[in-house]
Amino acid sequence: MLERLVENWLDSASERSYQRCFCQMLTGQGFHIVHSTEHTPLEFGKDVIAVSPDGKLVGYQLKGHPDGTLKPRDFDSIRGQLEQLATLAVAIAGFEGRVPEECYLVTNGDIDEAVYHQIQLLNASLVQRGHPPGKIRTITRGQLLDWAQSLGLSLWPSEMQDFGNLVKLLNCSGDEMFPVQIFDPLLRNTLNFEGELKSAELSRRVTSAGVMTAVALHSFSRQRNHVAEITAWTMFATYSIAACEKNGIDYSKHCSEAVLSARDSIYDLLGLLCEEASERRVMFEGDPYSEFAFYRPRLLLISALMAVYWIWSQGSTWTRPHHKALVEKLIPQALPPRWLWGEGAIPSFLTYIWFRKMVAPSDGNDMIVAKVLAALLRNKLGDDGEPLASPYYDAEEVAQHQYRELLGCPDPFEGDSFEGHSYSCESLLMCLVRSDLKMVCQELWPDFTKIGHERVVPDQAWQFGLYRTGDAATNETKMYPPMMRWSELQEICQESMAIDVPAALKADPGLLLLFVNLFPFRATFSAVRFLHREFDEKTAV
Amino acid sequence: MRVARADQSQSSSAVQLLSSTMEIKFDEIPELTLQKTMAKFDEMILDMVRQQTGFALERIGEEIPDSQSVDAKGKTLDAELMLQVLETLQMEFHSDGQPHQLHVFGGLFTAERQKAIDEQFQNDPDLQIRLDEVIAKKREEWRAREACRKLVG
Repeated sequence: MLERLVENWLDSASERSYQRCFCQMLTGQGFHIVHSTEHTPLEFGKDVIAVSPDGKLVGYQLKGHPDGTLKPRDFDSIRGQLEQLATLAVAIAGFEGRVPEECYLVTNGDIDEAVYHQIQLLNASLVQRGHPPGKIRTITRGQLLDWAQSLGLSLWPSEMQDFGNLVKLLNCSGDEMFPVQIFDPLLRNTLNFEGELKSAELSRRVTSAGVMTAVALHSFSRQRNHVAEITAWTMFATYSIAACEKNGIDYSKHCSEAVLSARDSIYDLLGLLCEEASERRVMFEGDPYSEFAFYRPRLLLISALMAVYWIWSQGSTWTRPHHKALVEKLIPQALPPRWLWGEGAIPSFLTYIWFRKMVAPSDGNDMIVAKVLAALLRNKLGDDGEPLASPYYDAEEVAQHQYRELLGCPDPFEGDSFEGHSYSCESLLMCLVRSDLKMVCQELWPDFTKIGHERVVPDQAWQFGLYRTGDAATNETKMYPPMMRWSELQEICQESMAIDVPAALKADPGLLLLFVNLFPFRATFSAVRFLHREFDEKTAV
Repeated sequence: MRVARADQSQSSSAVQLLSSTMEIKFDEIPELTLQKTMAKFDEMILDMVRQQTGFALERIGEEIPDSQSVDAKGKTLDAELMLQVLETLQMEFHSDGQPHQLHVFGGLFTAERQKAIDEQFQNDPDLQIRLDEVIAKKREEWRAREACRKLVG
């Protein structure tokens, strides 16, 4: 049954969506991916470049022929790219001047006999130009399915419930929020969080989870739902890191390749999101009659994701240099009114502010943080409207609560209350303390000490990367003393070890920043202090 | 769950499993009606509520410091005891100076006794003056506490 699911997926996958799975399968075979991109002008026929376990530089040109055969007429347009792939040196740091020693034309369909003949002719002409015989080879549907079988499927959980969850994901229309609660058990079971793993087994399971992620995203990839794809690949990365840390396995040796490959996928998806958003005059999606409830949360999330894209790119290089200007134009200079839909919006807000501080440093940015903290404190003390929902509720649930009578749906907040306590006020105050805004903090202090400050601390750091920790975490409520010395508060705010965050996630602050934007309840005081140090202080222009 | 209070005191508590059962015997089935079935559900729900309430009160009892406790010593609730309670408790006020509503719970606070106490205060001007004085004192204490909410140094 699972085999049929994978066949169905491969037979209808676009070149873009199976490329990510292909990279995961390469890393599962010990390859080191040095380049994986989706159609930049500089790729010169090389979709993927990897170093094989025996040190060879290998180039791959991926083509999508879902449910079909590569015919001679298709090959005419590919020939030039294949020649470039086989003959042009790569321009990748560390590999400058090297020409791939092996090249592959990869298709998720079959290849016509006549095309094989043309490839032989091309190889013969390459031999005449001094290249080794048989330089261009092929990987087709059958081989991809064999890889998926041996590297992925064999380790997928076989319980009926897991199978049902995978089917549920495949049956999604693809234009909705990614159902993380369905994907979570699939990843947990594939990575065997209930048991213990040795390093070799973990590596195999990580590859298997990578294949599963690509398959599970099928409906979302077809709809070009970039945010859903970013969410799933981020989960794959943080769950893989969690599995490594849980089992005490060397991350750099056994897992980092797969996570880096997922990170490349995320980076490309952020680029695609940038292009799509840039083409829109108004960033609406779906039914315009329900946009009043979702437009502002979406605008904030897109701004935050674009800020993450900008921060990642500035930290290395812009794969698509023209995107820098697009991103800077996309992110508004001021957030729209009523953007604060719940405490779940705070990580996106902070990401936005850190971006603004980098591109347009001004004291005004800190004052916006102060205004937001003041408003949130008033709200939590019951002086300003209904208390905002905790970060455990997303924008969709908040809308359901607000319009429950109209919608005739159950109240997602039933049994919960948000007055008098907050998950994010400590982090906002910390930003002001580190900016040395003592007078502003003194003004806010009385209200700040009246509410309980909530933190959820996982029992083990590896659990931080998961969607839910269950009982394996402690809820902490901290009430600050009415009177405190500024120096004491500074000391609390300066701490930034983030001991409850996995080491591999701390080593990649950009990924951590993305993770807390997608899973706002993980933007704990501890994590935000760490992120603030990384993005508000060090990199400030 | 861990709580770190403003006075620097801390307490931790673990999750406790509460459970209740509902039983329908085979012999009962022929005579069972919707009402009888619902009565069984109600019984189970009440049992859970009792357990949860008992659990919550037990935890509150463990955490309340002696300085905030009054021992009724077997007496029934009257105006004198109520004044003693108000004297002892730390009271909170709204920004307009009105006290937060006092929530009472337990066998001591029957509706009948509360009505009797209201009448005692209404009919005895001395008691009413003492009540006003206690509230005024508590309001001042609250104002002093609020004035201490400062970030200093």
